[in-house]
Amino acid sequence: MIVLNKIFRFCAAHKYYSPALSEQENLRAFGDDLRLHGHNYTLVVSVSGPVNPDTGFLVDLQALVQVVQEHIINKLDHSCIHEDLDWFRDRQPSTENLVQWIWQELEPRMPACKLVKLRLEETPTIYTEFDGSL
Amino acid sequence: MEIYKTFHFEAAHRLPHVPEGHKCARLHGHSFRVDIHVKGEPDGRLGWIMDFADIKKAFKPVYDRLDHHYLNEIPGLENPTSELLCRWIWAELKPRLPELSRIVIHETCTSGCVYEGD
Repeated sequence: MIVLNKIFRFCAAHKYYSPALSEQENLRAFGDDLRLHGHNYTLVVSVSGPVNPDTGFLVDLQALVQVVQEHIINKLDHSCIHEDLDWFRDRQPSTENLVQWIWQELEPRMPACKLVKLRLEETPTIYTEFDGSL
Repeated sequence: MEIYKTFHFEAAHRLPHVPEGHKCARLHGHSFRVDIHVKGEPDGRLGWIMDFADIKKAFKPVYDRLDHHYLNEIPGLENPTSELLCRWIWAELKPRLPELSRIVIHETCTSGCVYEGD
């Protein structure tokens, strides 16, 4: 299987707080993340499919970029995730949840290729990967 | 000769005075990278300008005010552009680190600011 990877970046703010937890449990679970802060996120979109013999490409990159830009980057870049995206009203804006939201937005919109993996980097040392299976 | 130490902090901000509709007016955040430069001559015996650990120690109280904070809420940082953040860090750090010679802030991997004092 040949996989084509395309990298995108967005900058966003978030903070964590769970009403299901006590103040002490919130503090223990989230620590500094209880305070409003932000990250420069890196999103790696991995797609696969047959290579078109005429172009040598497995995806129309322009079409892929347009989908990711319109449905992901335009919504997340320079946003406050838990305030600006309804999906996060009752979910924590963690990288684990964010990568699932991105998958559900992107997967049905892939331009003649298959979304096989997402990699979402929150900091230089923390990232999640998701292949759509739970 | 200069040495430098690099720090990363995760913070939220918005720019209150940009033109209407500018994306930076919206609350968002960054993984900021800061390079703290110190100028001097290497010590004759030790061979170093300064212990990197001493730069970290001097910057720690400043770092703690920035990391995982909403920058606009910090007194003096109501308009937290990279330029004004450089000046703010300089004012906070210079008294603790007189050898400070340059501050470089990377707001994103392609945008940043260099400040060497006024």
